[in-house]
Amino acid sequence: MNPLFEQFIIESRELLEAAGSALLRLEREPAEPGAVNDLFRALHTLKGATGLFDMPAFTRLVHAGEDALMAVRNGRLALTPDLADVLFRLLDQCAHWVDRLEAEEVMPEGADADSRRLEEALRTHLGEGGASGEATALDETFAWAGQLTGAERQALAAGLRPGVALTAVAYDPAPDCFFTGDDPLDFCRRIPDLLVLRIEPVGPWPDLASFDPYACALRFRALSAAPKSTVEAVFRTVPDQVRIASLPQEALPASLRAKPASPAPRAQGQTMAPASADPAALVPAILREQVRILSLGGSADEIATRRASVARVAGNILAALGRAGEHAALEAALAESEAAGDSGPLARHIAGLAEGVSAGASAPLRPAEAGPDGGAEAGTGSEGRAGRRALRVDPERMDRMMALVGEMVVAKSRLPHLARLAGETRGDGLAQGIREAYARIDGITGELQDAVLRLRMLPVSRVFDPLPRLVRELSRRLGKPVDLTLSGGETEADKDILDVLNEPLLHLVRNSLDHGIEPPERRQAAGKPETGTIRLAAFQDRDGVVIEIADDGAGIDADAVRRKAVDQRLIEPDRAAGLSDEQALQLIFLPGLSTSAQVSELSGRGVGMDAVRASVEQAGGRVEIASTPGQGTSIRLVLPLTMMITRVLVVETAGEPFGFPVTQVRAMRRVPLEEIRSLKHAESFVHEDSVLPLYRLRRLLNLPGDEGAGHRAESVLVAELGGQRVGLVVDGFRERTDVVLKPLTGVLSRLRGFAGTAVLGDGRLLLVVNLRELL
Amino acid sequence: MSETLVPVRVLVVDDAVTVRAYTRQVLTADGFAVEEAVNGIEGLERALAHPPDLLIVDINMVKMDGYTMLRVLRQEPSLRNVPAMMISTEAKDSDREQALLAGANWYFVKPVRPDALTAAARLLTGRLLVVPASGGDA
Amino acid sequence: MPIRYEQGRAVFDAACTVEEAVPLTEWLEATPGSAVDLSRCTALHTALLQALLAANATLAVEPEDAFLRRWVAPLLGGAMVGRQT
Repeated sequence: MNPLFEQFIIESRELLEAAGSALLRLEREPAEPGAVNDLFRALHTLKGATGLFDMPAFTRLVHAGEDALMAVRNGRLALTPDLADVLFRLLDQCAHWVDRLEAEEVMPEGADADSRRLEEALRTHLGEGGASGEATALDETFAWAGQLTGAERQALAAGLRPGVALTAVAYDPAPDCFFTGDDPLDFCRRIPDLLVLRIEPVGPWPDLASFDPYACALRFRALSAAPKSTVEAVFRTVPDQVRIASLPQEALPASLRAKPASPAPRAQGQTMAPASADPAALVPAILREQVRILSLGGSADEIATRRASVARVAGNILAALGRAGEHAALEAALAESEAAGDSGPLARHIAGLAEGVSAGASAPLRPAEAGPDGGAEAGTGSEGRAGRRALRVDPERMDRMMALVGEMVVAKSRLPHLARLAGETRGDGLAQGIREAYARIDGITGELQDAVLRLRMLPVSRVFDPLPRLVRELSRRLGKPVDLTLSGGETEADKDILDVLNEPLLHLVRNSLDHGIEPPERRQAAGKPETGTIRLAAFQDRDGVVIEIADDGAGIDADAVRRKAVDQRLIEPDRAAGLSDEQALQLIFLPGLSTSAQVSELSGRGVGMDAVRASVEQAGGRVEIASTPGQGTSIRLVLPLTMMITRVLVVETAGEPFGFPVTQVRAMRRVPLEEIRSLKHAESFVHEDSVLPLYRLRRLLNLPGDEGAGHRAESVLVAELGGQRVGLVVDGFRERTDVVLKPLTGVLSRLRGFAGTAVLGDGRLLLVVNLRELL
Repeated sequence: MSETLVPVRVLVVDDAVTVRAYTRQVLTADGFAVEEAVNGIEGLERALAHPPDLLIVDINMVKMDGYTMLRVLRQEPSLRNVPAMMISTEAKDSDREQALLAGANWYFVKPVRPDALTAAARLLTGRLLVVPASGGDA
Repeated sequence: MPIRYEQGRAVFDAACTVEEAVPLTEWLEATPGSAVDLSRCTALHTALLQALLAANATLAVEPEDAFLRRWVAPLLGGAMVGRQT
């Protein structure tokens, strides 16, 4: 038996004994205040203890006794021999339950009805009448059971057996329950004698684009003809997410529709009531409470004392969120309040903090998101103060730390499996314990990974900073006045990514000035301001860091690009003619194509667009280009936030998982066989009005077998490489996941076509594909 | 790092053995060092002898209730700013206000969920809060 | 492969697990007005069900599985076509 439960059995026996003797004394000497107090206190303590376990009938009955004794103590109610009788019966009932609990660890069948009978008897004494009897049992959690639809009533009527109580279930799965391996719908499937099941969204559905399929957004309400204990067994691993109550049949149709008009019954049927269900919501709640404390009246001394404890609590909360750096501002607000003898400044400061955390994005608690970190070198040491010194860390040590975090991610992923095993083979709380441990380790690992990654993050301004000088010099040399605007320099990216960005960025800015922006007289003739504009913007989006370089220059003439490519024999004339302007623009990424008529002094140093593309792709990113002749060109570099962790789409082929960096994945499709054209050995298909070449991953990797005869469509991954899209036939799509990519070593290092390996959550080895090498 | 190697000390004052055992079990599992006192007077004595990092106090107790205990405690210079949490079965706002007036920083209605209890204890004592990831990653 | 994606229709086969949630969501997003064939589905993970509900997907073919037919099918709108068995 769980030691806590054992403790409960011992303590409740003691309390019941104490209550029994107090009741005897009270009956002998009704005027003695000590006896009623002792009795009251014993029941009060017992109620607190029962509340820790799932035994609502017990808690409710003790509460009813407590209410009656309160009335006796206040003189509202006389202790008649009748009332004493009921109280003795109450104590006996409780003692009986304790015996049964000790033997079976669950409340006996019929406990609800027993409790209700005694509650009723007590209420008669209190003069509250009996009408609200059943209603008490059905607190708001189960109010829906009183408002069944016609069809549900019919189902109920058909399934009810005379004299058998119904069991009502209110199951609100935790949003992250999928991660611990729960399938709420499957729990509901296992409810025996299910008569009514309602599956409801917790809130309005968001846009599919922002819908998180891994966060449980459904809740379940059910009625079953099976006994409560049987239903409880189904949900025994999620006791904190479910409430189960027994409803007497007669309580169902009539009395439920008539909502209790009598004194509102307390919400006493609830067990394990989530006082504050979401720990994340605690932060703003506790902060607001501190503001309230500061507003309370009292002597000057009391108020000063409250300021002291409130300031300490607020400081602790900042530390708990990893924001100790903001401590100084809090101290300042406290000092101001102390000096003025007015809690106002401190209260306003804390109210601001509360506002900040509750307004914070999706996960306000995660320090990583919460802390606006001044962008200092080497990140977020929580002891940091303004003006702290940067700490230099050997990158290799950091990489080792990251690798260890990666190992931990893999090691922890075995836990849900163990929890499942434990759940299947043993009936005790081991599975739940493992799940809880997993959730904690999972959270800590996520934070740790984030913290390590953040150590490597630097602001993009690092690569922006040299640009104004460069532009100024070039613009003077070329005689082209130019305004350079930079935005988003505070956006952070991994140091390695910034290193990769440096060279391409310089090149693209040079290109814009040299080939994009026209000389002033041409601009004037075209009705444009003489001064050209180059805008650089950095920001984060779903895929990573985006850097945009846009100019308002001449734009790129798609026809000129076509001609050039044909002249240089980079493409067949008829294929060039068949390209849309948008596609033709992509040709500038081909090696050897230079669009300016003569190789200029500035840009023609062998670093072409192909080099830009190659270095960006090597870092797992992509380049996009858009241009309107006469209006300008815009180029986007999309790079992952970090090279340490790669977000991959996992596909399955020949029974093995393969990963593709999501930055290269444009779409996942099912292409019907009849839409696949095949010419000699080359296959193609139409995607968004373009004909794309189609490759088969099995063939590229020399894997055995084919995709399987008999099916009517192929799973096709549309990937983008340097503006060129290709289709890739795979067996099936799996999840997207973050992996720590390791370079190929040993025998594997001779394999071509792979960027590295990673270990998946289930322990399988994932090969991450380098498409460019394969095609 | 704010996660110190010296355990954070919590003093639990409650006259119900089971509730104390529950609180101890939950907080010890999360790495807190838990001490217990069975009533307000013993709570005061212990807190004075060795000021804790956090007080968790029940309201209804024989021999000095939680309100009185906190009021007295707040007058001690060494204890005036110790974070204090009150826990009671009463859910009325007037009870909550009573607790805050007496010197509590936070009030929970019993029974408190384990995750809420540890999260609050961490926040009130400045131990790094770790929340299970709830992102959309597999 | 537990879910096959055909033109405008997702065909669920046998036990469909949480692993399918992301591809399904992406497919639903890319395929407005999509319909699902649950006839051969024997278990539907909650994550998949909520994706279908969020996308307001319609049911093209009713599930044979009794639990799904009774409790899940009515949540998915659309012209229900009983499967000839």
